[in-house]
Order: sequence, then C-alpha cells, then structure tokens
Amino acid sequence: MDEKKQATERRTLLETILKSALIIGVLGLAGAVLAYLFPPKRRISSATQRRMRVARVDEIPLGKGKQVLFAGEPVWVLHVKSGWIALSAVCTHQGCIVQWDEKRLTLNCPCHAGLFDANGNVLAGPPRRPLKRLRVSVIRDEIFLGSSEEEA
Amino acid sequence: MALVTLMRARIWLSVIALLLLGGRGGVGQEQNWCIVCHSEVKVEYQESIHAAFAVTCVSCHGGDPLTLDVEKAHAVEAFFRGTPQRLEIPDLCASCHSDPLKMKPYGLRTDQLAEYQTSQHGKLLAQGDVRVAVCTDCHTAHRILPAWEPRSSTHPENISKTCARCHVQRDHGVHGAALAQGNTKAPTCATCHGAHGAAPPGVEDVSRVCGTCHIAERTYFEASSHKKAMDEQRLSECVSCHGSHAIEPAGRDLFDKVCVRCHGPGSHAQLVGQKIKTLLAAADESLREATQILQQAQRKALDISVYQPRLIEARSYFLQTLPAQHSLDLSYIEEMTRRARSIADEVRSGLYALQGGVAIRLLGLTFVWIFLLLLVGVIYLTLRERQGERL
Repeated sequence: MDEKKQATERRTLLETILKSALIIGVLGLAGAVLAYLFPPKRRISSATQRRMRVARVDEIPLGKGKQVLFAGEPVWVLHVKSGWIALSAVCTHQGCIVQWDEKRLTLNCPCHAGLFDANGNVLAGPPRRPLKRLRVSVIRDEIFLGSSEEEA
Repeated sequence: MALVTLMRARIWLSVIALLLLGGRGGVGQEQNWCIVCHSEVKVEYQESIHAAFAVTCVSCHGGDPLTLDVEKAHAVEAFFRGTPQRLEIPDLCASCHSDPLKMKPYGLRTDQLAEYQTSQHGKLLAQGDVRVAVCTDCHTAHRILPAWEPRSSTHPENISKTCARCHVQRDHGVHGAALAQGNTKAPTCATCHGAHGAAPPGVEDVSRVCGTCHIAERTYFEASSHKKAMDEQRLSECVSCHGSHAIEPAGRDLFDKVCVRCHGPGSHAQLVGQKIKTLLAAADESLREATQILQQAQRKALDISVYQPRLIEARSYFLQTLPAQHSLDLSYIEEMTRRARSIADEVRSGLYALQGGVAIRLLGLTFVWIFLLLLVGVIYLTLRERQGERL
C-alpha cells in the first residue's frame, strides 16, 4: 500500500515538473515571437547598416559638408559643384580624422598634413591611397548614405 | 682577303639573325646598322626608352647608321663623334632634353640642364673637373630607362646604389627601411639633395627640406622656442635630434638620449621633455589597451559600432600630438593627450561592460542547459513510471 502511495506521489511530482517545464518552454517561445514582432530600435550607427538618412538637401549648402557616423566610422558628406559626395573621414595614412576646408574645398589631415580633394584623391602629403568613397543618393530632397561604392 | 671575307660573312650573319629575331626598338634594323657590329651594347640599347622612341645611336655618336661599311659609317663627313667626352655630355643630352618642341610629345620637362648647372656636380664640371657625375653616370649611357621602371638606375629603390657608385653608401635609417618595404614615396637621396640640381642643403635649409614632407612637424617647430635658439647658435634644426642619414624611428627614448645633449640633467627644459614623454606614454598605453579590448570584442562578434568611431577619434587626438611635440607647448600637449586618454578610457570601460553583459548571458545559457538536462532526466523517469517499472 505504502509502495503504491509512494509511486503515485512520485508520478504526481514528475508530472508537475513536466507541466512546469512546458509552461516555461511556451513562455520562452512567446518571448522569442514577441522579440521578432517588436524588434529593439537599431542604433544610428551599426556595422551592418546599409542605409542612413543624413540630412535634407537644403541643410547642406553648396561648398559645405556634414560629418556623420556611418557603419562605425566618421564620414564626410560634401556638397560640391558636381553634386553630393560621401567620403570616409579616416585618413588613409595613419587613421586621423580629416577636416573639410570650405575655403580651399579640400580635406585636410591635422596629423601629418595629408591633403585630399573633394573626390578623395590625394593632393599632397604622406597618404598613398585615396579616401574611401561611399554611395550617396538623394531621394525626395533627403540625402541618404549607402554602402561603399567599391563594394557595391 | 680571307679575313675580310670572314668579317663580311659575320656581319651578314648578324644582320640575318637580327632581322629574323626582330628588333624591339621603335626603329627598324635597316635604319640602325650600328648595333650589327656594336653588339656589346645591343641588348642594353634595345631595352632603353631611347630605342622605344626611335632615338638611334647616331643621335649621340654621329656617323652614318645606314651603311655597313665601317669606314663610311665612322666618316667625319657623316659627323661621326665617337664616344662623347664627359665635359660634352650634359650639353649633348640637353640638345634634345632642353628643347621644348622635342620633349613636348613625351611630356618631359626641359629644365634638367639648367638645374644641373646649379648643382655641385655641374659647378665642378664647369671648372673642368670631369670626375663629377654627368648624365650618363646616373642614367647610364645605353640602357636608359624611365625612372618609374623598377630596373632603372633612377628608380627610387635603386637611387641610393646609383649615388653610392661615387659617394659613400649610407645607412638610410627609417627612410631606407620604408623604401626597402616597397614604399616608393619614401625619400631617396634625391628627395633631400635634389636630383639634377643636387647640392647639400645648408644648415638653415634642413628644416625646410625635411619640412617638405614633415609639414606639421615643421610648422610646430617654427613656432617653438627651439627655432630661435638653434638659429642663433647655427645648430642644424632637425638633424640635431634626429640625425641626418641614419635617421632612427622617432620613439620616446629620444627624450632620454637627445635633450641632455644641450640641456643639463634636471634642468627645466629637460624636465619639460620628460613631462611630454610621460604624457605621450600614458595616452599611448590607454589607446593600446582600448584597441586590444576592442579587437577582443570584435573577435567575440560583439556590437562595437559605438566604440569604433570613438577610438578613431581618440587615436586622431593622439596622432595630432606627435607632431605637436615639436612646439614644446606643454598645455596644448596636455590637453590633446588628456582627450585621447579620456576617450580611450571611456571606450575601455564601455567594452568591459559589454563583455560583462556577455558573461551574464553565458551564465544564463548555462542555467538553461542544466534545466534542459534535468528535464530530459524527468521525461525519462516519467516514461519508466508509466511502464510500471520500479526505480
């Protein structure tokens, strides 16, 4: 009799544990579904980011530039005569951040006086490679940055 | 008679061989018979840029290139000049290379002779010293190749060997090392001394010569208290600390080795040097640690996109400080290194927190696995119970 009672109690305990596990599993599944349905907001800059809004066209007048963070690195979006140009702001010499010179229309490196034109070509100084160029597009008066032109 | 017949046979055999093999130059073999006999320079000449652009032997040596008759080919009437005298060589080369009309199609400059005449080589040659370098010493006489070609004696990688034919071969320190690694933008002898207008830079000119590449360093130096003091004492500006040819990498150990040459140990100037060294070392160390942790985080596939640009910014401040050392402006150097260090420290603590989050998640994952294993055990026990077996 005692053995039968013990077996019944054991079975009840095991079933309780199984039911609890089932509830926990269902909750976990529901959590995953909710996380998929309501994803967390992406950060402004993400290494996997494909496209980013920069500004409205009238916010960057001709000859001016705006520095933004895109895919984990600073980028210059320049408004020049030929249109919109997006260049990595990281100097190809030793990695300093280049500055846009509105008067000379050049990008100057403050570390070793590297000089780039508005297309990213090396004009003077120690850099050997041009600045990395990124895709930029204007959609309904909004400027968007895309991935690197070389990669595209 | 038999010798003449043999000679003619050799000449004709050579002609046939050349025609069969075909000349590489821009001039057909039939217009430049000289190389039939002067076969010792044939290969060198045919490889040269002159051969490619139809500049034949006659342009420098005179004579008649259209005949195989030795006497007619070397006749004075055919303006045969033979091997030009060393004194004549610059003018001879300049007869084409200083002529804008002749050089325009090739996009070549025409001021080489004018520059050469201002050089130490040119000045000594004008005094009749024929031991100095003339055009052919650097460019060779027959195998003249454009400077961009790696085999050329004037290619950046070969310049030091070319100069060392006459001058002492020097250890070119960091510049030579950069060249050896294939950086053809690194300075050669000609970058500092000039190519055609070669002359040793004067004491006052050294900072300008170095400053053509090290622009930021020169700007900071000229604003420093060193500039005036060194000019007054006629000390060579850059050379005094960095050396002239065997230039060592500009490491922080220079503060220990160099400052004491002029400033006594324990003097205010020497202490300023030590302070700059400490500031740079601290910022460098912070940056190095932050970079290491960032790389670790990258390997663990963590989202480092927030920290990456911050570290670029910190490195930028630090790199700006390196040329700024030459200003000796302690407050500026302090401010720039402080910025670099504080951003690097911020990145480092952020990345530690990120890695800490990963540790918590790993702990959570361990609990989940334990839970799953227990569950498997419970399922097994339940099944056994249902089969009516005793535990």
